Amino acid sequence: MGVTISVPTLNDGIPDFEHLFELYDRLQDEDGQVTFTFWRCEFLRHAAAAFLGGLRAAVRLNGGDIFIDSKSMRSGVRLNLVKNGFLDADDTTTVRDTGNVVPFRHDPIDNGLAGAVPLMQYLFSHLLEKDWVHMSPGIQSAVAGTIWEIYANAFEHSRSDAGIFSCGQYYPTIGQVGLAIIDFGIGIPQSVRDYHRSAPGTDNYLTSIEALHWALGPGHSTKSQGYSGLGLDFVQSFMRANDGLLDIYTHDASVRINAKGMSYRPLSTFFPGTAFNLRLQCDGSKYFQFEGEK
Amino acid sequence: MALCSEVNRLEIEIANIIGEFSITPDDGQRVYERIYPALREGRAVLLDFTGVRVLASPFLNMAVGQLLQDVPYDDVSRCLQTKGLTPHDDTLLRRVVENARDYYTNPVAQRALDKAIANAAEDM
Repeated sequence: MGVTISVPTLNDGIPDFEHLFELYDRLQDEDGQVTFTFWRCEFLRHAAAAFLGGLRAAVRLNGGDIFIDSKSMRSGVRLNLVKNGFLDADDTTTVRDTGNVVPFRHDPIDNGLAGAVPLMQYLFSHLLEKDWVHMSPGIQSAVAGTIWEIYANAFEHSRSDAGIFSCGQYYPTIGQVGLAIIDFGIGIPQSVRDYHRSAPGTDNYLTSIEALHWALGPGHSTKSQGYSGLGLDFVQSFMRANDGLLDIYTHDASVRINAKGMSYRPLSTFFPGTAFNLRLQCDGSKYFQFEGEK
Repeated sequence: MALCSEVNRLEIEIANIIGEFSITPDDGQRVYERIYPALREGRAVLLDFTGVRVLASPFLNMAVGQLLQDVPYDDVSRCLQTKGLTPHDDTLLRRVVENARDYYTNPVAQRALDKAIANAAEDM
């Protein structure tokens, strides 16, 4: 007999991510058949789709598998998961009517930076050039570069055997587009501790929040050779300056970054990887462009 | 380094050699390998970003940031010219250069980081 998990309604707030992290903790070593049912699920946001897709890949690495019981889904949930490709994540050839969704995407880590151009094409064709995004070409390029910083960090530092998982959606009622980028690697705190030789019991031991704080600082990178700074510092400053919102969850720490600043919070769960969830304003009332841009 | 010479200035069209997405460290390294010898010879270098759609710091760190390891900041400022940058990308480039200058000219910070790198390397 395999394990059956009932997936509830999942939004993209802290309690929703904590629920997903508990699920990961329960299933991370699973090597048998797991079934996800959705009888209780009224809505599954993009971040949950990205996470559950990644969890499925992680379980497969252990020799197990996750069966998605699509018959247990409400029609709206099922339609959304068909559109974003989650229900056919292994089928990369079918062209779908994606509507308001930014399709589910899996980037194996060994693709490395060779996947940069396809990723850029994904961001432009499925997100930045959509007619529901009210941004000038200059802003589109700046957002693409900013999102790339997140991917580049994950490719370079995450050591995520399962890979990197993305999914997004436009929410017209709140005028926002969300994009989640999740890896199942060693997490930002461990990457920073490895870099600083910071171990439990030593004077320079960094808590998860301290390590996350360091990683978001100017010029800080855990690259092991030569100079390489800016990445996450640039992401956080860009999001703050452009009405964006970015939540980062890693180990037992989280941070919310928006125009008001950065707010760190401990988590009651532990997720070894890193989950980025960003939201950009795109209600029709405002067109984003750089000063002086035509 | 000699004063940078405009007579035999090196012009590098980034879009032609890298493409419209100048975002990876590997591509940045390719550009660095063209810039660095020219600057060492005292030539001015013009980086033409016309046609570059997306520019990101992993590329700029390698293409320009690491120049500060051997080339003084004033020389980079004077001899490295740019064209075709959006205001956003111009800001990004300035931040990359300033961060690299801080990294390479702040002995305390560099010693601390080098020590950590050396310790990590010993365990490999």
